[in-house]
Amino acid sequence: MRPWIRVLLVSGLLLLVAVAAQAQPAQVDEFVPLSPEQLIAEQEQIPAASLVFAAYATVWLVFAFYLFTLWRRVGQVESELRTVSATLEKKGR
Amino acid sequence: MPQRDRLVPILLVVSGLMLTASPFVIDTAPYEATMGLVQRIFYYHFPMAMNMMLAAIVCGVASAIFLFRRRERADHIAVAAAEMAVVFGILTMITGPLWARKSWGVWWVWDARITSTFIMWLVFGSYLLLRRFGGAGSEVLAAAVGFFGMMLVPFIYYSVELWRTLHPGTSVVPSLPTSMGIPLYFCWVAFTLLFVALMSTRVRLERSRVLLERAYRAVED
Amino acid sequence: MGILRAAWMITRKDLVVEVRSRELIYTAVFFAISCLLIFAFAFVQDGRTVEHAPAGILWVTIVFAGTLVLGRTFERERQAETLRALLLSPIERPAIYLGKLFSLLIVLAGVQVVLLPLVALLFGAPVLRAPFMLAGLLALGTIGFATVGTLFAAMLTRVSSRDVLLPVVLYPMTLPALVGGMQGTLWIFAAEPNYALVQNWLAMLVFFDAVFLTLALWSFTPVMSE
Repeated sequence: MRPWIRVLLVSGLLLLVAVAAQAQPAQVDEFVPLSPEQLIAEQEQIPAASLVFAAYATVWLVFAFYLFTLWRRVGQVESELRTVSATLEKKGR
Repeated sequence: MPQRDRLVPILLVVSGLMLTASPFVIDTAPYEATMGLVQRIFYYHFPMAMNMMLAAIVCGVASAIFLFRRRERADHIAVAAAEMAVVFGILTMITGPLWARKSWGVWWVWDARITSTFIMWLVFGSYLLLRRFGGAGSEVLAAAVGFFGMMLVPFIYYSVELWRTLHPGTSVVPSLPTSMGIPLYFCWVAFTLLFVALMSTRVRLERSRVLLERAYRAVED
Repeated sequence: MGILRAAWMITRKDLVVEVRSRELIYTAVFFAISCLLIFAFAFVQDGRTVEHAPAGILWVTIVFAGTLVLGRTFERERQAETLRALLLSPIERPAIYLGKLFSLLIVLAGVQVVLLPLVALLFGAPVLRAPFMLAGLLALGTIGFATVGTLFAAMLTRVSSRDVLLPVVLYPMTLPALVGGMQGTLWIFAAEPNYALVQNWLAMLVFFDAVFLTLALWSFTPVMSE
């Protein structure tokens, strides 16, 4: 695949991660349920919509990319296979 | 195999349409009480995790068949399933933290389920690494890894659950009312169709690759 | 010849080689001690060890030393081409596996005999608190690790990237056994020990060992044949 496509895809993914990672609080050791006030305060920090968007977009992008690479490789291998098989036929094996 | 050639595009079209429609279908579900909008991620996260488990089991069974019966097709299925497990696993571990960030305030919690997913992902990742860098004959070795990996699943779940005993986290999957069930099954079906399409393509790639290698060797003789 | 007798012959051969050269035991013990030192700098602050660290330190060191010993035993076989000779001989395959497993366990036991007092000394771990439970955990956890490890190390002997692929493939696969060992040990060493939990972990380890020993015996022959 063209190098620039690779670069574009990687940058796109990194961008998604960066957008979602804007405000990262300190790691907590155990899960503490947020009280309603805290929840509202948190929601003010990162809009849930961008997280949902990031999740859906990542899933679609990854599958599109994977499917694309698979199809390309199948095409390449099978055309090579046809060529080599033709050569074998000619050799009379 | 004309039938096989038609199946994959059909599956892809159907699942593609379903996934395009999914945000609208999901929109019909009510908002979850405490988590609000971000819980929408669940409709994608859950099918990712389920399909990863499916892939792990398929890989394990195919690996066992290849290991003990040496049926070549089983090996193709095993490697395809391992790749599926890794891809769906990565997506599980991306969508999970995106959800967790909002609903629990941190990116990662050592929740029993996500930790188990992480371990399984490592097992099947190691399967792929072994096949890639193990050189000739690594298919059989990898089959042992795949087979053992499948047998490992109950132990992983038990150990991680017991590890979390004293600090149980909230269950990630609460019981669902039907209004949430329909979008969930919709997405689950869509992703499973996609899974089948991808598996089929990957198996075909593997088979062609092996045939090509053999053809090259025959030419050299 | 019975499988166990054949296995014992192989174990004895390994032990004789080891007793003469003492290579494995010296290097593994020395390596383990170096590990402990690194962990000291990680987990000891102001002269006090981080709570719950000694259990993890003990087990991580066992795993690292075990990986070294695994790699070295099979490297020896590969260099002398004795593994191929063994496989060609009329000895049943499971006996070869068991023989290597036993010799590995004996070497690791030797390492742990040195390691345990050191962990007690350096990190203040109460190793004498529940000696039978602790011994059980060490035995069962090590058996779990070694069971899968012997199979994987044997099957990787032919592979060129074996040194890096062995840990890559082994560590995720043996996590339940290691978690069991670590957590069980942790709850013995804890300020308020929880022996009920320790027994849960011991039970899980028994299951793990039984299942994976069976799987390894089953798989050894198909995996090692060309």
